[in-house]
Amino acid sequence: MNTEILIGFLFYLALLAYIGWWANKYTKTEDQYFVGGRKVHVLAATLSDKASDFSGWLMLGYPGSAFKAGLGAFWAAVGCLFGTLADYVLIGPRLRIYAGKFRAITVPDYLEARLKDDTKMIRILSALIILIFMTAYVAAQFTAGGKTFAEGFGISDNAGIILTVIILTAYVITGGFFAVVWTDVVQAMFMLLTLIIVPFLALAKIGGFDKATQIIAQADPTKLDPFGGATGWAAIIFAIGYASWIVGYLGQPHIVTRYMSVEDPRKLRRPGIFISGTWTIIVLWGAFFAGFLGFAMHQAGMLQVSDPEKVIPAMAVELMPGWLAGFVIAGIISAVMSTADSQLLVASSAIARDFYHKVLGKEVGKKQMVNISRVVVAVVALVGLWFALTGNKVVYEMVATAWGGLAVGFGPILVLSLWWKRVTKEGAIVGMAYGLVSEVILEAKVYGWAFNPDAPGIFGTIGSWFNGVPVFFINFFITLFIIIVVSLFTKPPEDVVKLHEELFKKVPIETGKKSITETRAKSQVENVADFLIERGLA
Amino acid sequence: MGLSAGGWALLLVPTLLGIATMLLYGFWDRITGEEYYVDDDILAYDEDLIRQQEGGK
Repeated sequence: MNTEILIGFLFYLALLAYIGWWANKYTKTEDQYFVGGRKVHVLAATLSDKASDFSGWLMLGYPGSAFKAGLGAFWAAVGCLFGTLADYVLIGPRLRIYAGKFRAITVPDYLEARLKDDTKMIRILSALIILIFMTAYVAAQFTAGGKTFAEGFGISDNAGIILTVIILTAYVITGGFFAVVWTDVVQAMFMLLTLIIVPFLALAKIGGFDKATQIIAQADPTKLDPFGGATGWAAIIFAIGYASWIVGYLGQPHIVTRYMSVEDPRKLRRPGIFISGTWTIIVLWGAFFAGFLGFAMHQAGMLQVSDPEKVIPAMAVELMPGWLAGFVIAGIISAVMSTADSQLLVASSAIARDFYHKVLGKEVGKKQMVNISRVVVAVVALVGLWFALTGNKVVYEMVATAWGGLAVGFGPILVLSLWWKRVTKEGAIVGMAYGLVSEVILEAKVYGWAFNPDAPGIFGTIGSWFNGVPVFFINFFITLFIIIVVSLFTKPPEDVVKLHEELFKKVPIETGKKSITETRAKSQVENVADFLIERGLA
Repeated sequence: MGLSAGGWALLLVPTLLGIATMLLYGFWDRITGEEYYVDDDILAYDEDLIRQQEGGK
Protein backbone atom coordinates (compact mmCIF):
# COMPACT_ATOMS: atom_id res chain seq x y z
CA MET A 1 0.00 0.00 0.00
CA ASN A 2 1.32 3.44 -0.94
CA THR A 3 1.65 5.49 2.28
CA GLU A 4 1.54 8.87 0.53
CA ILE A 5 -1.76 8.00 -1.19
CA LEU A 6 -3.13 6.89 2.16
CA ILE A 7 -2.09 10.14 3.87
CA GLY A 8 -3.70 12.30 1.14
CA PHE A 9 -6.87 10.28 1.35
CA LEU A 10 -7.03 10.29 5.16
CA PHE A 11 -6.60 14.05 5.25
CA TYR A 12 -9.65 14.40 3.01
CA LEU A 13 -11.62 11.90 5.05
CA ALA A 14 -10.84 13.82 8.23
CA LEU A 15 -12.21 16.98 6.59
CA LEU A 16 -15.48 15.25 5.71
CA ALA A 17 -15.77 13.66 9.14
CA TYR A 18 -15.35 17.07 10.71
CA ILE A 19 -18.10 18.60 8.53
CA GLY A 20 -20.42 15.70 9.32
CA TRP A 21 -19.72 15.94 13.05
CA TRP A 22 -20.22 19.69 13.11
CA ALA A 23 -23.42 19.50 11.05
CA ASN A 24 -24.78 16.86 13.41
CA LYS A 25 -25.06 19.54 16.08
CA TYR A 26 -27.24 21.54 13.70
CA THR A 27 -29.50 18.67 12.56
CA LYS A 28 -32.20 18.68 15.17
CA THR A 29 -35.48 18.39 13.33
CA GLU A 30 -36.98 16.19 10.64
CA ASP A 31 -37.16 18.93 8.00
CA GLN A 32 -33.56 19.90 8.68
CA TYR A 33 -32.57 16.25 8.34
CA PHE A 34 -34.35 15.83 5.00
CA VAL A 35 -34.36 19.24 3.27
CA GLY A 36 -32.04 21.33 5.40
CA GLY A 37 -34.88 23.55 6.67
CA ARG A 38 -35.62 24.66 3.07
CA LYS A 39 -33.22 27.58 3.35
CA VAL A 40 -30.38 26.09 1.38
CA HIS A 41 -28.44 28.75 -0.52
CA VAL A 42 -28.79 28.42 -4.28
CA LEU A 43 -25.03 27.89 -4.74
CA ALA A 44 -25.06 25.00 -2.27
CA ALA A 45 -28.30 23.58 -3.65
CA THR A 46 -27.12 23.59 -7.28
CA LEU A 47 -23.64 22.23 -6.59
CA SER A 48 -25.18 19.67 -4.27
CA ASP A 49 -27.66 18.78 -7.01
CA LYS A 50 -24.82 18.05 -9.41
CA ALA A 51 -22.66 16.27 -6.85
CA SER A 52 -25.66 14.05 -6.06
CA ASP A 53 -26.32 13.48 -9.74
CA PHE A 54 -22.80 12.69 -10.92
CA SER A 55 -21.65 9.72 -9.02
CA GLY A 56 -19.23 6.87 -9.35
CA TRP A 57 -20.69 6.75 -12.87
CA LEU A 58 -18.89 10.01 -13.72
CA MET A 59 -15.55 9.01 -12.25
CA LEU A 60 -15.53 5.31 -13.16
CA GLY A 61 -18.44 4.20 -15.35
CA TYR A 62 -18.30 6.98 -17.93
CA PRO A 63 -14.51 7.15 -18.35
CA GLY A 64 -14.62 3.36 -18.67
CA SER A 65 -17.19 3.74 -21.44
CA ALA A 66 -15.05 6.36 -23.24
CA PHE A 67 -12.05 4.01 -22.84
CA LYS A 68 -13.98 1.18 -24.51
CA ALA A 69 -16.06 3.06 -27.14
CA GLY A 70 -13.93 6.12 -27.91
CA LEU A 71 -15.42 9.32 -29.32
CA GLY A 72 -18.95 7.90 -29.73
CA ALA A 73 -19.27 7.74 -25.93
CA PHE A 74 -19.45 11.55 -25.95
CA TRP A 75 -23.13 11.15 -26.86
CA ALA A 76 -23.65 10.20 -23.21
CA ALA A 77 -22.21 13.57 -22.19
CA VAL A 78 -24.63 15.24 -24.61
CA GLY A 79 -27.54 13.40 -22.94
CA CYS A 80 -26.34 14.31 -19.45
CA LEU A 81 -25.83 17.99 -20.29
CA PHE A 82 -29.27 18.41 -21.83
CA GLY A 83 -30.82 16.28 -19.06
CA THR A 84 -29.35 18.67 -16.50
CA LEU A 85 -30.71 21.68 -18.39
CA ALA A 86 -34.11 20.00 -18.83
CA ASP A 87 -34.30 19.55 -15.06
CA TYR A 88 -33.96 23.32 -14.59
CA VAL A 89 -36.32 24.24 -17.42
CA LEU A 90 -39.04 21.65 -16.79
CA ILE A 91 -38.80 20.61 -13.13
CA GLY A 92 -36.87 22.88 -10.75
CA PRO A 93 -38.77 26.18 -10.35
CA ARG A 94 -42.27 24.74 -10.68
CA LEU A 95 -41.52 21.90 -8.26
CA ARG A 96 -40.13 24.37 -5.69
CA ILE A 97 -43.23 26.56 -6.02
CA TYR A 98 -45.57 23.61 -5.53
CA ALA A 99 -43.42 22.24 -2.69
CA GLY A 100 -43.65 25.54 -0.86
CA LYS A 101 -47.40 25.76 -1.40
CA PHE A 102 -48.08 22.21 -0.22
CA ARG A 103 -45.46 22.14 2.56
CA ALA A 104 -44.00 19.13 0.72
CA ILE A 105 -40.69 17.73 1.97
CA THR A 106 -40.34 14.71 -0.34
CA VAL A 107 -41.35 13.89 -3.94
CA PRO A 108 -44.17 11.56 -2.75
CA ASP A 109 -45.41 14.42 -0.49
CA TYR A 110 -45.65 16.62 -3.54
CA LEU A 111 -47.31 14.05 -5.81
CA GLU A 112 -49.91 13.13 -3.21
CA ALA A 113 -50.84 16.76 -2.55
CA ARG A 114 -50.75 17.84 -6.21
CA LEU A 115 -52.98 14.98 -7.38
CA LYS A 116 -55.14 15.03 -4.24
CA ASP A 117 -54.66 11.33 -3.69
CA ASP A 118 -56.51 10.16 -0.60
CA THR A 119 -55.99 6.47 -1.37
CA LYS A 120 -52.29 6.57 -0.31
CA MET A 121 -51.53 4.54 -3.46
CA ILE A 122 -49.15 7.16 -4.89
CA ARG A 123 -47.22 7.19 -1.63
CA ILE A 124 -47.02 3.39 -1.51
CA LEU A 125 -45.95 3.13 -5.17
CA SER A 126 -43.39 5.90 -4.66
CA ALA A 127 -41.95 4.17 -1.61
CA LEU A 128 -41.65 0.89 -3.53
CA ILE A 129 -40.01 2.52 -6.59
CA ILE A 130 -37.56 4.41 -4.39
CA LEU A 131 -36.76 1.45 -2.19
CA ILE A 132 -36.11 -1.01 -5.04
CA PHE A 133 -34.21 1.21 -7.45
CA MET A 134 -32.46 3.42 -4.94
CA THR A 135 -31.06 0.35 -3.21
CA ALA A 136 -29.77 -0.84 -6.61
CA TYR A 137 -28.33 2.63 -7.21
CA VAL A 138 -26.60 2.68 -3.84
CA ALA A 139 -25.14 -0.75 -4.66
CA ALA A 140 -23.62 0.75 -7.85
CA GLN A 141 -21.99 3.48 -5.76
CA PHE A 142 -20.59 0.94 -3.33
CA THR A 143 -19.12 -0.96 -6.28
CA ALA A 144 -17.55 2.23 -7.64
CA GLY A 145 -16.07 3.02 -4.23
CA GLY A 146 -14.78 -0.52 -3.91
CA LYS A 147 -13.05 -0.42 -7.30
CA THR A 148 -11.42 2.91 -6.47
CA PHE A 149 -10.05 1.68 -3.15
CA ALA A 150 -8.88 -1.50 -4.89
CA GLU A 151 -6.90 0.44 -7.50
CA GLY A 152 -5.55 3.04 -5.07
CA PHE A 153 -4.58 0.82 -2.17
CA GLY A 154 -4.03 -2.57 -3.77
CA ILE A 155 -6.84 -4.35 -1.91
CA SER A 156 -9.57 -6.56 -3.37
CA ASP A 157 -12.76 -5.06 -4.90
CA ASN A 158 -14.88 -6.66 -2.18
CA ALA A 159 -12.71 -5.30 0.65
CA GLY A 160 -12.97 -1.86 -1.00
CA ILE A 161 -16.75 -2.16 -1.17
CA ILE A 162 -16.99 -2.97 2.54
CA LEU A 163 -14.70 -0.03 3.37
CA THR A 164 -16.92 2.30 1.28
CA VAL A 165 -20.06 1.13 3.05
CA ILE A 166 -18.59 1.68 6.51
CA ILE A 167 -17.35 5.23 5.78
CA LEU A 168 -20.47 6.33 3.94
CA THR A 169 -23.12 4.95 6.27
CA ALA A 170 -21.38 6.40 9.30
CA TYR A 171 -21.47 9.92 8.02
CA VAL A 172 -25.00 9.85 6.60
CA ILE A 173 -26.34 8.50 9.88
CA THR A 174 -24.62 11.23 11.84
CA GLY A 175 -25.41 14.20 9.62
CA GLY A 176 -28.56 13.90 7.50
CA PHE A 177 -29.35 16.33 4.69
CA PHE A 178 -27.68 19.34 6.18
CA ALA A 179 -24.37 17.54 6.43
CA VAL A 180 -24.98 16.03 3.00
CA VAL A 181 -25.57 19.39 1.31
CA TRP A 182 -22.42 20.97 2.67
CA THR A 183 -20.18 17.95 2.22
CA ASP A 184 -21.61 17.75 -1.33
CA VAL A 185 -20.29 21.25 -2.04
CA VAL A 186 -16.79 20.26 -0.89
CA GLN A 187 -17.08 17.03 -2.89
CA ALA A 188 -18.26 18.87 -6.03
CA MET A 189 -15.11 20.98 -5.92
CA PHE A 190 -12.91 17.87 -5.47
CA MET A 191 -14.57 16.21 -8.47
CA LEU A 192 -14.10 19.32 -10.58
CA LEU A 193 -10.39 19.60 -9.78
CA THR A 194 -9.79 15.90 -10.38
CA LEU A 195 -11.44 15.96 -13.79
CA ILE A 196 -9.53 19.06 -14.87
CA ILE A 197 -6.10 17.86 -13.68
CA VAL A 198 -6.14 14.23 -14.88
CA PRO A 199 -6.77 14.83 -18.65
CA PHE A 200 -4.13 17.57 -18.80
CA LEU A 201 -1.53 15.36 -17.12
CA ALA A 202 -2.44 12.58 -19.56
CA LEU A 203 -2.00 14.92 -22.53
CA ALA A 204 1.42 15.97 -21.27
CA LYS A 205 2.48 12.36 -20.75
CA ILE A 206 1.33 11.24 -24.22
CA GLY A 207 2.87 14.25 -25.97
CA GLY A 208 -0.17 16.13 -27.24
CA PHE A 209 -3.63 15.53 -28.65
CA ASP A 210 -2.46 14.74 -32.19
CA LYS A 211 -0.20 12.01 -30.87
CA ALA A 212 -3.04 10.58 -28.77
CA THR A 213 -5.46 10.39 -31.72
CA GLN A 214 -2.72 8.84 -33.85
CA ILE A 215 -2.20 6.07 -31.29
CA ILE A 216 -5.97 5.50 -31.02
CA ALA A 217 -6.38 5.39 -34.82
CA GLN A 218 -3.66 2.75 -35.08
CA ALA A 219 -5.37 0.63 -32.42
CA ASP A 220 -8.98 1.00 -33.62
CA PRO A 221 -10.08 3.73 -36.10
CA THR A 222 -13.78 3.32 -35.16
CA LYS A 223 -12.92 4.86 -31.78
CA LEU A 224 -12.44 8.19 -33.58
CA ASP A 225 -15.79 7.97 -35.38
CA PRO A 226 -18.69 9.95 -33.81
CA PHE A 227 -20.99 6.95 -34.34
CA GLY A 228 -18.52 4.18 -33.51
CA GLY A 229 -18.28 3.23 -37.18
CA ALA A 230 -22.04 2.66 -37.54
CA THR A 231 -24.02 4.16 -40.42
CA GLY A 232 -27.68 4.85 -41.25
CA TRP A 233 -30.27 3.58 -38.73
CA ALA A 234 -27.54 1.88 -36.70
CA ALA A 235 -25.79 5.24 -36.26
CA ILE A 236 -29.01 6.84 -34.96
CA ILE A 237 -29.58 3.96 -32.53
CA PHE A 238 -25.92 4.25 -31.45
CA ALA A 239 -26.32 7.94 -30.61
CA ILE A 240 -29.70 7.45 -28.86
CA GLY A 241 -28.28 4.55 -26.88
CA TYR A 242 -25.69 6.83 -25.28
CA ALA A 243 -27.71 10.07 -25.15
CA SER A 244 -30.76 8.38 -23.61
CA TRP A 245 -29.65 9.45 -20.13
CA ILE A 246 -31.46 12.73 -20.85
CA VAL A 247 -34.98 11.51 -19.97
CA GLY A 248 -33.80 9.95 -16.74
CA TYR A 249 -32.97 13.34 -15.26
CA LEU A 250 -36.64 14.20 -14.99
CA GLY A 251 -37.37 11.45 -12.46
CA GLN A 252 -34.46 11.16 -10.05
CA PRO A 253 -35.78 11.85 -6.53
CA HIS A 254 -32.30 12.42 -5.07
CA ILE A 255 -31.73 15.17 -7.66
CA VAL A 256 -35.13 16.90 -7.77
CA THR A 257 -35.33 16.97 -3.95
CA ARG A 258 -32.51 19.50 -4.18
CA TYR A 259 -34.79 21.91 -6.06
CA MET A 260 -37.40 21.57 -3.31
CA SER A 261 -34.83 22.72 -0.76
CA VAL A 262 -33.67 25.88 -2.52
CA GLU A 263 -34.42 29.20 -0.82
CA ASP A 264 -36.18 30.89 -3.77
CA PRO A 265 -37.51 29.17 -6.93
CA ARG A 266 -36.54 32.13 -9.10
CA LYS A 267 -32.88 31.65 -8.23
CA LEU A 268 -32.95 28.30 -10.00
CA ARG A 269 -33.29 30.28 -13.22
CA ARG A 270 -30.46 32.62 -12.38
CA PRO A 271 -27.82 31.81 -11.10
CA GLY A 272 -28.93 28.16 -10.64
CA ILE A 273 -28.81 26.97 -14.23
CA PHE A 274 -25.51 28.79 -14.87
CA ILE A 275 -23.71 27.18 -11.91
CA SER A 276 -25.10 23.76 -12.64
CA GLY A 277 -24.69 23.89 -16.43
CA THR A 278 -21.12 25.19 -16.34
CA TRP A 279 -20.03 22.63 -13.74
CA THR A 280 -21.68 19.87 -15.78
CA ILE A 281 -19.94 20.85 -19.03
CA ILE A 282 -16.51 20.90 -17.38
CA VAL A 283 -16.81 17.57 -15.56
CA LEU A 284 -18.32 15.76 -18.56
CA TRP A 285 -15.53 16.94 -20.85
CA GLY A 286 -12.99 15.98 -18.15
CA ALA A 287 -14.44 12.51 -17.57
CA PHE A 288 -14.72 11.82 -21.29
CA PHE A 289 -11.16 12.87 -22.07
CA ALA A 290 -9.80 10.98 -19.05
CA GLY A 291 -11.18 7.74 -20.52
CA PHE A 292 -10.37 8.65 -24.14
CA LEU A 293 -6.77 9.63 -23.39
CA GLY A 294 -6.43 6.78 -20.88
CA PHE A 295 -6.98 4.39 -23.79
CA ALA A 296 -4.21 6.09 -25.76
CA MET A 297 -1.85 5.80 -22.76
CA HIS A 298 -2.80 2.15 -22.38
CA GLN A 299 -2.10 1.45 -26.08
CA ALA A 300 1.24 3.27 -25.88
CA GLY A 301 2.26 1.07 -22.95
CA MET A 302 2.30 4.00 -20.51
CA LEU A 303 -0.53 2.71 -18.32
CA GLN A 304 -1.61 -0.66 -16.99
CA VAL A 305 -5.41 -0.90 -16.72
CA SER A 306 -6.93 -4.10 -15.34
CA ASP A 307 -10.51 -2.84 -15.75
CA PRO A 308 -11.51 0.08 -18.07
CA GLU A 309 -13.66 1.53 -15.26
CA LYS A 310 -10.53 1.88 -13.11
CA VAL A 311 -8.80 4.12 -15.68
CA ILE A 312 -8.94 7.37 -13.62
CA PRO A 313 -7.55 5.93 -10.38
CA ALA A 314 -4.92 4.08 -12.44
CA MET A 315 -3.95 7.36 -14.18
CA ALA A 316 -3.76 9.15 -10.84
CA VAL A 317 -1.44 6.56 -9.36
CA GLU A 318 0.68 6.55 -12.56
CA LEU A 319 0.85 10.29 -13.28
CA MET A 320 0.84 12.02 -9.92
CA PRO A 321 2.91 12.21 -6.74
CA GLY A 322 1.52 9.86 -4.09
CA TRP A 323 -0.12 12.49 -1.89
CA LEU A 324 -1.86 14.09 -4.90
CA ALA A 325 -3.03 10.68 -6.12
CA GLY A 326 -4.48 10.27 -2.63
CA PHE A 327 -6.50 13.43 -3.22
CA VAL A 328 -7.71 12.13 -6.60
CA ILE A 329 -8.73 8.85 -5.00
CA ALA A 330 -10.52 11.02 -2.45
CA GLY A 331 -12.16 12.95 -5.32
CA ILE A 332 -13.55 9.73 -6.75
CA ILE A 333 -14.73 8.55 -3.37
CA SER A 334 -16.31 12.02 -3.09
CA ALA A 335 -18.36 11.40 -6.19
CA VAL A 336 -19.46 8.06 -4.84
CA MET A 337 -20.27 9.37 -1.40
CA SER A 338 -22.03 12.53 -2.53
CA THR A 339 -24.48 10.47 -4.58
CA ALA A 340 -24.90 7.51 -2.28
CA ASP A 341 -25.49 9.70 0.76
CA SER A 342 -28.36 11.51 -0.99
CA GLN A 343 -29.77 8.21 -2.19
CA LEU A 344 -29.61 6.67 1.27
CA LEU A 345 -31.38 9.72 2.61
CA VAL A 346 -34.14 9.61 -0.01
CA ALA A 347 -34.62 5.89 0.61
CA SER A 348 -34.80 6.47 4.34
CA SER A 349 -37.36 9.26 3.90
CA ALA A 350 -39.47 6.97 1.66
CA ILE A 351 -39.75 4.42 4.44
CA ALA A 352 -39.56 6.43 7.63
CA ARG A 353 -41.59 9.44 6.58
CA ASP A 354 -43.69 8.46 3.57
CA PHE A 355 -44.58 4.94 4.63
CA TYR A 356 -44.27 4.63 8.42
CA HIS A 357 -45.45 8.13 9.28
CA LYS A 358 -47.84 9.02 6.42
CA VAL A 359 -49.25 5.70 5.18
CA LEU A 360 -49.38 3.77 8.45
CA GLY A 361 -50.24 6.96 10.33
CA LYS A 362 -47.76 6.32 13.15
CA GLU A 363 -47.28 9.46 15.21
CA VAL A 364 -43.75 9.75 16.48
CA GLY A 365 -41.67 12.62 17.78
CA LYS A 366 -39.30 14.45 15.45
CA LYS A 367 -36.26 13.11 17.23
CA GLN A 368 -37.65 9.59 16.99
CA MET A 369 -38.32 10.08 13.26
CA VAL A 370 -34.71 11.03 12.68
CA ASN A 371 -33.60 7.94 14.63
CA ILE A 372 -35.93 5.67 12.61
CA SER A 373 -34.51 7.19 9.42
CA ARG A 374 -31.02 6.38 10.61
CA VAL A 375 -31.97 2.74 11.17
CA VAL A 376 -33.47 2.62 7.64
CA VAL A 377 -30.24 4.06 6.20
CA ALA A 378 -28.31 1.24 7.88
CA VAL A 379 -30.69 -1.44 6.55
CA VAL A 380 -30.70 -0.07 2.97
CA ALA A 381 -26.90 0.14 3.11
CA LEU A 382 -26.68 -3.52 4.15
CA VAL A 383 -28.96 -4.65 1.28
CA GLY A 384 -26.98 -2.44 -1.13
CA LEU A 385 -23.79 -4.05 0.16
CA TRP A 386 -25.16 -7.50 -0.64
CA PHE A 387 -26.05 -6.41 -4.22
CA ALA A 388 -22.61 -4.83 -4.66
CA LEU A 389 -20.76 -7.92 -3.49
CA THR A 390 -22.82 -10.35 -5.58
CA GLY A 391 -23.52 -8.20 -8.73
CA ASN A 392 -21.60 -8.01 -12.03
CA LYS A 393 -19.57 -5.02 -10.74
CA VAL A 394 -19.97 -2.98 -13.98
CA VAL A 395 -20.81 0.48 -12.66
CA TYR A 396 -22.14 1.88 -15.99
CA GLU A 397 -24.71 -0.91 -16.29
CA MET A 398 -25.66 -0.96 -12.60
CA VAL A 399 -26.32 2.79 -12.68
CA ALA A 400 -28.30 2.53 -15.95
CA THR A 401 -30.54 -0.13 -14.39
CA ALA A 402 -31.33 1.88 -11.27
CA TRP A 403 -31.50 5.20 -13.15
CA GLY A 404 -34.02 3.65 -15.52
CA GLY A 405 -36.38 2.45 -12.79
CA LEU A 406 -36.48 5.88 -11.18
CA ALA A 407 -36.75 7.62 -14.56
CA VAL A 408 -39.79 5.62 -15.63
CA GLY A 409 -41.39 5.56 -12.18
CA PHE A 410 -41.21 9.30 -11.48
CA GLY A 411 -40.16 11.16 -14.66
CA PRO A 412 -43.40 11.09 -16.69
CA ILE A 413 -45.68 11.92 -13.73
CA LEU A 414 -43.41 14.69 -12.46
CA VAL A 415 -43.30 16.42 -15.85
CA LEU A 416 -47.02 16.04 -16.50
CA SER A 417 -48.06 17.12 -13.00
CA LEU A 418 -45.97 20.28 -13.29
CA TRP A 419 -47.04 21.24 -16.81
CA TRP A 420 -50.49 19.74 -17.43
CA LYS A 421 -53.43 20.76 -15.28
CA ARG A 422 -55.54 17.82 -16.56
CA VAL A 423 -53.39 15.03 -15.14
CA THR A 424 -55.29 12.89 -12.62
CA LYS A 425 -54.41 10.68 -9.68
CA GLU A 426 -55.81 7.68 -11.58
CA GLY A 427 -53.42 8.41 -14.45
CA ALA A 428 -50.55 8.73 -11.98
CA ILE A 429 -51.37 5.49 -10.14
CA VAL A 430 -51.74 3.42 -13.34
CA GLY A 431 -48.64 4.99 -14.92
CA MET A 432 -46.43 4.59 -11.86
CA ALA A 433 -47.62 1.01 -11.29
CA TYR A 434 -46.90 0.20 -14.94
CA GLY A 435 -43.48 1.87 -14.68
CA LEU A 436 -42.54 -0.08 -11.56
CA VAL A 437 -43.70 -3.49 -12.76
CA SER A 438 -42.47 -3.16 -16.36
CA GLU A 439 -39.01 -1.91 -15.35
CA VAL A 440 -38.54 -4.72 -12.84
CA ILE A 441 -39.66 -7.38 -15.36
CA LEU A 442 -37.87 -5.97 -18.43
CA GLU A 443 -34.62 -5.22 -16.62
CA ALA A 444 -34.50 -8.22 -14.29
CA LYS A 445 -36.00 -10.92 -16.50
CA VAL A 446 -36.10 -9.97 -20.20
CA TYR A 447 -33.32 -7.66 -21.37
CA GLY A 448 -31.08 -6.43 -18.58
CA TRP A 449 -30.33 -2.70 -18.71
CA ALA A 450 -30.45 -2.34 -22.55
CA PHE A 451 -32.39 -3.84 -25.45
CA ASN A 452 -30.66 -6.76 -27.14
CA PRO A 453 -31.64 -9.49 -29.61
CA ASP A 454 -30.94 -12.31 -27.14
CA ALA A 455 -34.33 -11.98 -25.38
CA PRO A 456 -36.94 -14.69 -26.09
CA GLY A 457 -39.68 -14.48 -28.77
CA ILE A 458 -41.09 -11.09 -29.75
CA PHE A 459 -38.87 -9.42 -27.17
CA GLY A 460 -35.86 -10.59 -29.14
CA THR A 461 -37.24 -9.03 -32.33
CA ILE A 462 -37.89 -5.73 -30.54
CA GLY A 463 -34.45 -6.03 -28.98
CA SER A 464 -32.84 -6.29 -32.42
CA TRP A 465 -34.53 -3.04 -33.54
CA PHE A 466 -33.24 -1.07 -30.53
CA ASN A 467 -30.06 -3.01 -29.82
CA GLY A 468 -28.03 -1.11 -27.21
CA VAL A 469 -30.72 1.45 -26.31
CA PRO A 470 -31.46 1.42 -22.56
CA VAL A 471 -34.84 -0.12 -21.72
CA PHE A 472 -35.89 2.94 -19.74
CA PHE A 473 -35.67 5.28 -22.74
CA ILE A 474 -38.51 3.59 -24.64
CA ASN A 475 -40.41 2.73 -21.46
CA PHE A 476 -40.37 6.37 -20.36
CA PHE A 477 -42.46 7.40 -23.37
CA ILE A 478 -44.82 4.41 -22.99
CA THR A 479 -45.46 5.43 -19.36
CA LEU A 480 -45.98 9.04 -20.42
CA PHE A 481 -48.54 7.89 -22.98
CA ILE A 482 -50.36 5.68 -20.43
CA ILE A 483 -50.69 8.54 -17.92
CA ILE A 484 -52.04 10.88 -20.61
CA VAL A 485 -54.61 8.35 -21.85
CA VAL A 486 -55.87 7.41 -18.35
CA SER A 487 -56.01 11.09 -17.35
CA LEU A 488 -58.10 11.92 -20.42
CA PHE A 489 -60.59 9.24 -19.40
CA THR A 490 -60.83 10.54 -15.82
CA LYS A 491 -61.44 13.98 -14.35
CA PRO A 492 -59.24 15.99 -11.97
CA PRO A 493 -60.90 17.89 -9.07
CA GLU A 494 -61.79 21.47 -10.06
CA ASP A 495 -59.87 23.09 -7.19
CA VAL A 496 -56.70 21.26 -8.25
CA VAL A 497 -57.00 22.56 -11.81
CA LYS A 498 -57.73 26.09 -10.53
CA LEU A 499 -54.72 26.08 -8.19
CA HIS A 500 -52.46 24.92 -11.03
CA GLU A 501 -53.67 27.76 -13.26
CA GLU A 502 -53.25 30.38 -10.53
CA LEU A 503 -49.89 29.16 -9.28
CA PHE A 504 -48.03 29.50 -12.56
CA LYS A 505 -49.34 32.80 -13.77
CA LYS A 506 -46.55 35.11 -14.82
CA VAL A 507 -46.25 38.62 -13.37
CA PRO A 508 -44.13 41.61 -14.44
CA ILE A 509 -40.69 41.62 -12.80
CA GLU A 510 -40.55 43.86 -9.71
CA THR A 511 -38.26 46.84 -10.09
CA GLY A 512 -37.08 49.50 -7.67
CA LYS A 513 -38.50 48.26 -4.39
CA LYS A 514 -37.12 45.47 -2.23
CA SER A 515 -38.22 42.02 -3.31
CA ILE A 516 -39.78 39.49 -0.97
CA THR A 517 -36.55 37.52 -1.09
CA GLU A 518 -34.56 40.46 0.20
CA THR A 519 -36.91 41.11 3.10
CA ARG A 520 -37.54 37.49 4.06
CA ALA A 521 -35.89 35.45 6.80
CA LYS A 522 -32.22 34.57 6.72
CA SER A 523 -30.89 32.04 4.25
CA GLN A 524 -29.16 28.79 5.18
CA VAL A 525 -25.75 30.38 4.69
CA GLU A 526 -26.66 33.22 7.06
CA ASN A 527 -28.01 30.76 9.60
CA VAL A 528 -24.85 28.69 9.38
CA ALA A 529 -22.74 31.82 9.81
CA ASP A 530 -24.76 32.79 12.91
CA PHE A 531 -24.44 29.27 14.29
CA LEU A 532 -20.71 29.35 13.57
CA ILE A 533 -20.24 32.64 15.42
CA GLU A 534 -22.34 31.49 18.35
CA ARG A 535 -20.97 27.95 18.77
CA GLY A 536 -17.57 28.10 17.08
CA LEU A 537 -15.90 25.39 15.03
CA ALA A 538 -15.29 23.00 17.88
CA MET B 1 -3.60 13.69 -36.79
CA GLY B 2 -6.40 15.06 -34.58
CA LEU B 3 -10.15 14.51 -34.93
CA SER B 4 -12.26 14.66 -38.08
CA ALA B 5 -14.65 17.57 -38.70
CA GLY B 6 -17.51 15.29 -37.60
CA GLY B 7 -15.62 14.49 -34.41
CA TRP B 8 -15.08 18.14 -33.52
CA ALA B 9 -18.74 18.84 -34.39
CA LEU B 10 -19.86 16.18 -31.89
CA LEU B 11 -17.73 17.77 -29.17
CA LEU B 12 -18.48 21.42 -29.86
CA VAL B 13 -21.99 21.77 -31.33
CA PRO B 14 -23.94 20.24 -28.38
CA THR B 15 -21.72 22.10 -25.90
CA LEU B 16 -22.39 25.44 -27.60
CA LEU B 17 -26.10 24.63 -27.87
CA GLY B 18 -26.09 23.81 -24.16
CA ILE B 19 -24.48 27.17 -23.33
CA ALA B 20 -27.04 28.94 -25.56
CA THR B 21 -29.88 27.11 -23.74
CA MET B 22 -28.44 28.17 -20.39
CA LEU B 23 -28.26 31.80 -21.42
CA LEU B 24 -31.71 31.83 -23.02
CA TYR B 25 -33.43 30.19 -20.05
CA GLY B 26 -31.33 32.07 -17.49
CA PHE B 27 -32.42 35.43 -18.90
CA TRP B 28 -35.89 34.43 -20.11
CA ASP B 29 -37.51 36.60 -17.42
CA ARG B 30 -35.53 39.63 -18.60
CA ILE B 31 -36.36 38.88 -22.24
CA THR B 32 -40.10 38.58 -21.61
CA GLY B 33 -40.27 40.99 -18.63
CA GLU B 34 -42.28 38.40 -16.69
CA GLU B 35 -41.54 35.87 -13.98
CA TYR B 36 -43.46 33.33 -11.89
CA TYR B 37 -45.49 34.88 -9.09
CA VAL B 38 -43.87 33.88 -5.80
CA ASP B 39 -45.51 34.95 -2.53
CA ASP B 40 -44.57 34.81 1.14
CA ASP B 41 -46.54 31.61 1.53
CA ILE B 42 -44.14 29.82 -0.78
CA LEU B 43 -40.95 31.45 0.45
CA ALA B 44 -41.71 31.42 4.18
CA TYR B 45 -42.71 27.78 4.22
CA ASP B 46 -39.89 26.66 6.44
CA GLU B 47 -40.46 29.21 9.19
CA ASP B 48 -44.09 28.06 9.41
CA LEU B 49 -43.10 24.44 9.64
CA ILE B 50 -40.46 25.01 12.27
CA ARG B 51 -42.94 27.01 14.38
CA GLN B 52 -45.43 24.13 14.14
CA GLN B 53 -42.79 21.62 15.11
CA GLU B 54 -41.65 23.62 18.07
CA GLY B 55 -45.19 23.95 19.32
CA GLY B 56 -45.79 27.50 18.09
CA LYS B 57 -44.05 30.60 19.29
